[in-house]
This record gives sequence, C-alpha cells and structure tokens, in this order.
Amino acid sequence: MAVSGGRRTQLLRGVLDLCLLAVMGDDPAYGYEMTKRLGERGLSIVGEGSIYPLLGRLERDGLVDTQRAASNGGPPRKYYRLSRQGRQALEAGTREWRATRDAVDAVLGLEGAEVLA
Amino acid sequence: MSSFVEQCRKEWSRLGVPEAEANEMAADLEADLAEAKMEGVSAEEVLGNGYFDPRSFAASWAAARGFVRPARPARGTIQVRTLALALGAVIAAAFVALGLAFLFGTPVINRSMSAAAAPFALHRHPLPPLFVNPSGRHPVDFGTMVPPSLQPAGLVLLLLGLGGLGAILWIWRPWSQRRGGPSGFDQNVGMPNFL
Repeated sequence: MAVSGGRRTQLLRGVLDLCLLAVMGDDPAYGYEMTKRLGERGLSIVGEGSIYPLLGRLERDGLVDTQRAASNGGPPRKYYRLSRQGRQALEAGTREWRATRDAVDAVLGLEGAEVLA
Repeated sequence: MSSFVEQCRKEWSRLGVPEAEANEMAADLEADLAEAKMEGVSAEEVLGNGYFDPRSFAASWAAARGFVRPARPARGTIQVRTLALALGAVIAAAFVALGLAFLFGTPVINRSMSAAAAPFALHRHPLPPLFVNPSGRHPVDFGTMVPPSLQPAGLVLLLLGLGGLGAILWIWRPWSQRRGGPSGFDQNVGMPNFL
C-alpha cells in the first residue's frame, strides 16, 4: 500500500514519546542507549525522525530528570531518567494507548485474533 | 568534530542558542555518533531522517528545548501586511464602484439624493438638456446621467478594480493559510516535521 510508510511515521509520531518514557523507565539512559533499547524491542527508527528533539521536549516539560555522568569508558553523557511527573504521564499514556489499540482492533476485526492464532 | 555536528553548531550559533547549551548538545551528539560508529551503526540509524537535514534537525532540537521560538513572522509584519491588503481591497472596490457608476449611471445613493431633491429643483431651476428625458414622462432619467464619453473610462476602472480584487485574494489565501500552519516541528509531540 502506497501510504503504509507514511502511516507508520504518523503512528510513531504519536507514541514515540511514550516509548522513550518506557525505555528509560527501566534504567536511566543516554540518547544512543535509548535508540538501542528501542531497537532491541523491535522498534527501529531507521528512516524516521530523531529522538533528540523529543528528548529535549520531555526535559522541558519536566517529564524527565537529567544528570551528566561518566559512561563505560567513554566521555561523560547526559543520562535521562523518569521524573515523578513522567511516570504519571507514562501510566496515563499507556492506558490511552491500550484503549485506542483495543478500539482500532475491534473496528478492524482483530479482536481476539492473537488468541485464535 | 564530525561534519554533521559542525553544521549543527553553526545553526545553533545562527539561532542564538546559548553557548553552554550548544556545547552540551554537540558533545552528546558527538559521543553518540562515535559510539554508534564503533558498533558499526550508521549515523542515519541514530538520527533518522534528520541526518539528511542538519539545519532542520538542529533547529528542531533547539526549539524543543526552548532555546529558540519556532520561526513565525513578527507580529508587526503581520499587521502591516494585513493593513496593506485591506487598503488595497478598499481601493480596488472603489475602482469597481466607480467603473460601474460610469458604465451604468450614478450610484444608488446619488440617485436617491437627487430624486429627493428633484421636485424642489424642478420648481426653482430649469434642468439642463442632459437631465431631461426625451420621452417627457419623467423630468429626470437617472440612467443617462453619465455622459457616454466616460463609459470607456468606466470599463477601464471596472477591469482594474476586478483585477486588483482578484490579485489581493490570490495573495491573501495562501498567506492566511500559512499563518496558522506548522512552524518547524510538531507542537504535540515535539517531533520534527521531517519525521
């Protein structure tokens, strides 16, 4: 389908902030480390936008706390961790995602498809 | 420093990002790209589409961090342009009105004023031949009050006015749409438009 690439971009644009909050919820991480964690969970941003502006916005909105610390053998890095406000945003965002996903699944006739498969 | 980071630095400098913050962002970017390179990961995989447009990438990042405002025309510029367009529209409308008046007779407001004054005028002064209806039924035929020699001028004025109104509409439509449009990055999630 010709629009599939554009649709993936639009979908990512709506949830990438949530994904970043989720991957830094495990442990504090710096920029590239978060890209790797996203990739390990199957979410590649190749051909998509960068996470750096998004991290900047999360920081400005107070959803993450930052700290500069030495990395493994490398130069000091800026580590991002969830703030209390960020944790609340992650919980609220996860609920919204589930509700939206379930509704779309129902419309597309995918409800229970995983169980049947 | 890599070429990409160097271009970002230039853009941050141009945008007036404080040097300490620009240094911090450049250092983070440099370290991430170096680590990715050591692991055999391309810069594009780290930066996404931003890799192909360093200036937009740098501007989006700086705007997301609140160092610069997304580019928008200054308020004064908007007001001057709006006033100029409004003035142009009024002048063009006046040309159209004059053109119509010259082509088809006096404007309605003059007609009613003349009509109201006509009975009194008839009693006091004889009308010049121009204002006398040859049929003799009505003392004044307002439809012929404009001399025929003015009709070409009326046509020119009408065409100029209509052309002016069309041009103003043509300028105003895309400009007014741009005023409310996107401004460099997505306001909802902070992702650049090139995502």
